[in-house]
Amino acid sequence: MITNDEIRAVAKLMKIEIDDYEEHAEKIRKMIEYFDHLDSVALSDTFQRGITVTIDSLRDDVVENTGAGADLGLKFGGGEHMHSPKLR
Amino acid sequence: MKARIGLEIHCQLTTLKTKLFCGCRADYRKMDPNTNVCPTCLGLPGSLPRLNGAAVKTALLIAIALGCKSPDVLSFFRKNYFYPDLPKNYQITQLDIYGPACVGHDGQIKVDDRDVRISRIQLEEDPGRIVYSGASEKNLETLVDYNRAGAPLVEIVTEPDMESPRDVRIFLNLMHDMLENIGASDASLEGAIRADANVSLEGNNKVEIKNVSSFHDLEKAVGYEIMRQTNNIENEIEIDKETRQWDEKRRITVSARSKESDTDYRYFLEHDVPWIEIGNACDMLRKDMPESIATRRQRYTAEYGISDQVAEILSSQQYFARIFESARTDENSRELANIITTDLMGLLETRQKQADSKLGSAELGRLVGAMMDKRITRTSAKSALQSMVRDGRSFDDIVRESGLGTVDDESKITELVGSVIDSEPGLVNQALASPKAVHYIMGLVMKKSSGRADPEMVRKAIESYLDSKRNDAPDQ
Amino acid sequence: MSTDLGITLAEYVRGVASGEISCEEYVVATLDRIEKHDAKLHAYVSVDADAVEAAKGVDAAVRAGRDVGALAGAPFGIKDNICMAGTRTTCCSWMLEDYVSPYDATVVDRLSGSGGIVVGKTNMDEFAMGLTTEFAAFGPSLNPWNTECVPGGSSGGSAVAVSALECIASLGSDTGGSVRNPASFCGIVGYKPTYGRLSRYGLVSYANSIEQVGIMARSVEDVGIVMNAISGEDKMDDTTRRDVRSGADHTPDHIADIDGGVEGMAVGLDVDSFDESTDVGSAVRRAADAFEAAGATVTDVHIDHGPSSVASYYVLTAAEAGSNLARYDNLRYGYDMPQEGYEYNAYISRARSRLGPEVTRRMILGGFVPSAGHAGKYYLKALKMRDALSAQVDGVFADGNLACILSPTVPVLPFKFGEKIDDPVELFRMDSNTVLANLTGRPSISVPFAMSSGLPIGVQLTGSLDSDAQLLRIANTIHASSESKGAPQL
Repeated sequence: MITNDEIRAVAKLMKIEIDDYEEHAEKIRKMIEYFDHLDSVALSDTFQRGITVTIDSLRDDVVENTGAGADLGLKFGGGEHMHSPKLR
Repeated sequence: MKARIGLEIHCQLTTLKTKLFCGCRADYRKMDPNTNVCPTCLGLPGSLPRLNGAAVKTALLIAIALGCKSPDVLSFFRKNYFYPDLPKNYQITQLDIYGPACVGHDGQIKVDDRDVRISRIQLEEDPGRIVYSGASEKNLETLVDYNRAGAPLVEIVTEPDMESPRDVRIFLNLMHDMLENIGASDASLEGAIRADANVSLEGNNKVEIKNVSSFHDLEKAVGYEIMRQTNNIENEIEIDKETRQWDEKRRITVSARSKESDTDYRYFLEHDVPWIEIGNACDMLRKDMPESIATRRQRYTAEYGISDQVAEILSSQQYFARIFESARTDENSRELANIITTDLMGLLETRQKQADSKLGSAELGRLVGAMMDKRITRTSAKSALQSMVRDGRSFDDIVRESGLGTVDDESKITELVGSVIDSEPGLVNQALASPKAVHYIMGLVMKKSSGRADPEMVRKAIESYLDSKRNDAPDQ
Repeated sequence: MSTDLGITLAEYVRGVASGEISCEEYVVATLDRIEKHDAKLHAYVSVDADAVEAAKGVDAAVRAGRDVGALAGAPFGIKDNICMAGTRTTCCSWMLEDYVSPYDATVVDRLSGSGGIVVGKTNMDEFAMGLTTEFAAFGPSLNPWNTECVPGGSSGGSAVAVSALECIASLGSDTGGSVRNPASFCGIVGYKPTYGRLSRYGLVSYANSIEQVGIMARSVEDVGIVMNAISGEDKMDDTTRRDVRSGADHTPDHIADIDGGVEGMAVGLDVDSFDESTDVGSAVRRAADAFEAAGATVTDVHIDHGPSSVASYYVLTAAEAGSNLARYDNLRYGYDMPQEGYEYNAYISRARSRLGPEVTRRMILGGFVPSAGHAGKYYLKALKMRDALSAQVDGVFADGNLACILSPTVPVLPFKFGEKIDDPVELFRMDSNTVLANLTGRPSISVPFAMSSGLPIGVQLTGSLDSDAQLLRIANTIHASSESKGAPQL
C-alpha cells in the first residue's frame, strides 16, 4: 500500500504540485492496487529486445542543422540565452 | 592506509561532425547561444532521436582501445531528472543493469606497472551549458545555452584501481593521448575531456569529487581528499558517503550538500532508439585501428634504436609520429627523432599550428641529412626549420639564399675566435681559471657566426688559443 | 446543399478525377457542416479556413490535367497531438494551450504530399490519456449517435469528425486502443498498424514504445488508400527501420488485394473476450458466422485478457509518460508565467499544475513504478508480462495457423458521460481487448458491425506482425456483411 508520504515524495520528484490531494491519493492508490495483479504471473528472468537494426543503417554523420535561422516557437530567440529560474 | 581511486571520464567525440541524435553540429564552440539547435536537441514535442552511426563506431573504437568486451546488441536508456540544461528533462545514456548493453565493459589498461580495470564505457548525450551572469554574487541570472545539448559523449568508468594522485595523472595523460591517437577526440579542446574521481581509504566510505575543471586540479583534489580522509580517520571522525566539489580558489574539496542522493533516476529503456546489432563492426574497426601508442613506442626503441625517453614523447603524438615515419630512413632515425622532439614540437605546439604547417616530410629528411653530414649546424637547422614550417620553402633554397651553410674553414674560425677575445680581453684569464668561461666564449663565437660555425672546430680553436696563452704565462 | 458528404474516400477520389466532384464544393460543404454542428459535437479544437484555397488549387489542377495525388484534396481531421507547422498543437492541455509547432509530422507531410487537405485539429483526452474525451482540457466531444454518450477516446474528436461527416477520414493515435475504441463507439473503421509502419515523428509522445498513428475512415479500403500514402520507413523515426531479424517491407500495397476475400483463411474467435448474452457478445458471434459464410474457418482460441495484461499496459504507459511529459517545464516553450519570485523547482511544479487531473495521476504513477525501490515489482514485471503475452499470442497464431483473431473492440456499448470517470479501475477494464495489439506491436482494426439501442458496436480483428495488408483484406470482407450502415442523424 502506497502511503500519503510516498505519494507526496513522488509528486515532488515529478515536479507536480497537487491542489486536491485527497481525491488524487485515493485514485492513485486504487490504480497501484490494480497493478498488484502483476504479482500473480510467473515470468522469465529476461525480457526481449525491441526493433533491432545494424549500425550501417543508422543516420550518416552529415550536418543538417534543421534549426538554423528557423523560428522554433521558443520563448527565446536564436543568439539569446534562455532564462531559467534560480537553481537553489 | 591504502587509497583506492576510481575515475569517471567524460570525453566528447569531437572528431564527429554532428550531434549524437540530430544533424546539428557536434562542434558547438564559438557560436552565438542557441543557434546550433533543432527540434530534436531542444526536445520539442513530437521530435525523436536519430542515432548517429559514426558515433557508435567511434565509441566502439574506444572500447577496443581499452580492451573492453562489447555485447552483440547495444541498447539505450533514459536517465530521468529535471535540470535546466536538459531539454527533455531526461538524458539518453547507456546502462548495464539488465545485462551488458553499453558499448564496452570489463576492459583493462596498463598504467605504468599497474593494471587499471575499466568497468564500462557508455555512449550518451551532453547536456546544454548553464552560465551565470550578473553584477554581484547575489544577483546572478541563470542562463542556458543549448548549443552543446546532444553533443556526442562517451563516459569511461574505471574500477578504483589507482592509489595516488600520480597514478591519476599518468592515467589521464594516457587517456588523453590514446583518444587522440585513435582519432576519437581532440582532447586539447576546451571542455572536450572532463573527469570526476572517487576516493576511499580501505574499509571506509567512498567520496565522489565533482566539478573539477582541469586534470591538474583533479590531481590536486584527489591529493587533498586523501589527506582529509586520513586526518579524519586518525581523529576517529567517520567519513560520510557524499559528493564533494573542488573549490578552485581555496584549493580544497567542500561538501556539495546537494540532494543528489535523493534523486531517483528511474532508469528505463529508451524505445525511440532501436537496439543496435554490432555484427562484425568490431572486427572491421579492429582491422583499421591505428597502432597503439605502447606498440609504437616499443617499435621505435627496438627497431630504430631510439632512446626510451625520446620514443615515449614521439610515439604518444600521432601527428609527429606520422611525420617521423614518413621522413625516416635507416640512417637518420635517431637524428630525425631528436629534431622532431626538441625543435619541431616546440614550433608546432598547437593543433592550429600543426594544421597550418607547410613542412613536407621529404624536406625535413633533407634537413636532417645535411645536419648529419655537418653541412649545417644545429642552430642553423633550427632557423631553417622555422622558415620551412612557416613558408614551405625548400631546404636547399634556404641554405643557398641565407647562407646557412656551416663555416668549417679553420682559418676563418681562428679569426672569429681571435676577434671575440680581442673585444673582451679579460675573458682569457677567466677562461684559464674556469671551463665555464670557455663555454661563454664559445657562445659568443657561435653568435658572431650566426650559428654557422662548426662547434667542434670552435672549441678546438679556443683551446689552442688558451694553450698558447698558458705557454706564454710565467710559472708561478 | 447538394454535396453528398457521406461518400467514402475511394468514391471521392474517383469523383474528383472524373470531374463529377468539385474539391472546392466538397471542402466548403465540409466546413459548413463543421460550422453548423461542431459547436455541439466538438470534434475539432481548431479549424483551418485556408483549406478552401487549397481546394481551389486541386480543382484547377484537375482541369489542367495535372496529378492531384492519391488523396485528391480530400479533407482530413488530424488529432491535436500530431504536429503541423505553424498551427497550434495543444494535445488538448492547458499546458500547451498556445503551443505552435515549427515543423510538420511525417504523416502530415506525406498526407499533404499526396494531395490531402487538413481542415482542422481534432479533440482528444489530454495527452491521449483517457478513453472518453472527458479528460480533454477544452471540453469533451459528443457521440453523434447519441449525444448523451461518450464518443470513446482518446482520439474521440477524430472519430466524431468522420462519423458526423465533418471530414472524409482522419488521423488519430493509438496507445492502448485510442483509435479503435472511439471508432467502435462512433460506428466507423479505426486501424492501428504494426508498430513501426507509420512514422511517429511529430506525434507527441505519450507511451512511445507501443503507440502508433492510426487511421479512421468510413471504409476499410479508405484506410488502405491512406496507408499507401503515408506509411513506410522514415529517416526521422529510427523505429520505422526494418528489423534485421524480420526484414519485413513496411511499404507494401495495402489495397491491391483488398477485395480478395477470406476463403480458406483461419480466424480465431477470442472466446474469453466477450459474454455472448450481451448485445456486444452476440454481435461478435454473428461476425464469426459471417466469416464462415464467406469461406473462412472459425476456431475458438483462448488469450489472456486478465487484469495482468491491462496492469502491464498501465504500468508501462505510466513509466513512459512520466518521462515523455517531463519536458513540459514551461521554460523553453509553453504559456506565459513570469519567473520572478520562483526558484527552479517551485517554478516548474507551479507551471505543471496546469496539467489536468488524469495526467497528474499518471505522472505520479510514472514516478512510482520505475523508481529504484519499485521497478522490480512493477516496471520490470510489466516488461516481462508483455513478452509473455507476445509469446502466448504467437503460440495461438501458430497453433491454429490463424490469419487473425476476432473479439469485440470494447466489451460494452457506448456509455453515458460521467458514468465511469470516477472509477479508474472500471475505465482500465474498457481497454482489456485493445491493449493486446499495442503490447505485442500487432496490427489491429475495429470494424463497425452491428447496432444496438441506436448505438454502434465494433468488432476487432488483430493480425500477425507485418500482416497489415492481409488484415485490411479480412476487415474489408467482414465490413461488407456489416449490419450497421450510414451516418448518424444529427
